[in-house]
Amino acid sequence: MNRSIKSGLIYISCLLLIQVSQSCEENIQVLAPPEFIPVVYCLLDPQDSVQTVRVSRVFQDRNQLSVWEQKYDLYLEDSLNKIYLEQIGDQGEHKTWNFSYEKQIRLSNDSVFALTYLFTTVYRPIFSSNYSLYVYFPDTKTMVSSKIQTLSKVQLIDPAFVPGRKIVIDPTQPYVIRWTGATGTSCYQGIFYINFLEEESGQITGKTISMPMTIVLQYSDLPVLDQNVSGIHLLQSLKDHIPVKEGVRRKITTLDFSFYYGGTEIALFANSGMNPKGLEGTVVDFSNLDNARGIFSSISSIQVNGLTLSNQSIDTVAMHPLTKTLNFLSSHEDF
Amino acid sequence: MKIFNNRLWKLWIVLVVGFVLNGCVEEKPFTGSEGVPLPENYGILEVEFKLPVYQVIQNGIRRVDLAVCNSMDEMYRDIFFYHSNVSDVKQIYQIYLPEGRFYYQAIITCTCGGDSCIQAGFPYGYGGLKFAFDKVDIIKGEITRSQPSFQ
Repeated sequence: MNRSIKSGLIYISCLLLIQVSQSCEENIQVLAPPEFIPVVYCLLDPQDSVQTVRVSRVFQDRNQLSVWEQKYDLYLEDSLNKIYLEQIGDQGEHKTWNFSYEKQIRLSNDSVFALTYLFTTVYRPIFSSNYSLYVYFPDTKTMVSSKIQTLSKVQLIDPAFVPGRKIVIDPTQPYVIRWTGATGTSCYQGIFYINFLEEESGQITGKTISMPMTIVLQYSDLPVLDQNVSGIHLLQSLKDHIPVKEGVRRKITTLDFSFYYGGTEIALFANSGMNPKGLEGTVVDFSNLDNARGIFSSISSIQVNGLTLSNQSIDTVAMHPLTKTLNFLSSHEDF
Repeated sequence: MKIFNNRLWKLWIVLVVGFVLNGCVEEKPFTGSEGVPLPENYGILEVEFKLPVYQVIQNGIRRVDLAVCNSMDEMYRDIFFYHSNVSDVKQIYQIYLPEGRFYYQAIITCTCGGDSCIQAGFPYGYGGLKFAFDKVDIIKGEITRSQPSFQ
């Protein structure tokens, strides 16, 4: 390489270095200017006769900008009695329900939880129907609004209460939770409740532990959806949820099962935290509200009670290395 | 510089082709429906658990149990070493078993209202059980198919 090419390359690299170092000098504003951003959550439940709206606001740091904080809290208080739900019928007819103030919840005076109000209305929404939610803040003339179609009804296939049928917990086979897919539903979670008797110093008490399964986010139109829960996972859950106690004997009685299903908006919201970070390095959160953060969606649940475990499963829980220390009695033993 | 002469070149080709072909005939492990390889002496019992159709009741017949035991005596004494998690929407069940003879029992029930279940021959009507059983010989590395038949 001759000398002129070498000096050319050095010149170009110096220019590049200067350019790069200059581009790094952009001023970053650490604290954004104060701005009133309401946060609204409303999950309509067609199987509940009371609906709730939760109203709050974006919170940065309570120790800073206290004047603004108080002012924003006043804005929130101003929203009392200015929240309503509107149903839009197939023929375009409108019906409205006003929400009234229920209570104030504020878990702590820190930077995580802001002043939060709950509002309720007595109304049972209809499955697969169009609803709009409006929350008005007169001082700032902010109208928060959103429109959704409530989810349609899901049918739980397994577990089901069938006379004589028993649930098997076996390390060699999974338990499969099955349900029918439904329009506008994309978020599902099952919870097993294990009811058992506990004997300690001659005293027998009934206890229940809940074992929530992983949340399923499923957008497909399959007629039947399922979730495999391995036998080992169920045994491990038992071990994780029940404390080991010396001198205590336990006996499994029945199982209950709750199945929650929610609208597509909840699935998108739940997924948004996992999305790649946005251009400015912030996590992109899903919101389907105009002029606010939060979510307006629908949710419902199914309950199955009085399920029984097979004798083989009761023996597995009593004898398996994972759960043996919990002192469960086998199927042929009693207190 | 020529490394291979004509004869050595042919031998080399034969060796390479032989090596490649040998790699292609790798034996696939015997797996169940979940794709998990089974132990060497295991086979699969595949039960087609069809629900019978009764004229008096179109719906309401439900699967209750599918269980496996070692002998008729154990079946008589209700001692089963394996129970399947049965479902109303699943018809085919695969059970992984070691080579040998086994017995299985399939149970159904009726959950129709009125006296439909009695009309369909379920003892006691609603919630009454019907049983079917069969003997199967499991051969290692093979699927043994069976279908219980209910009266």
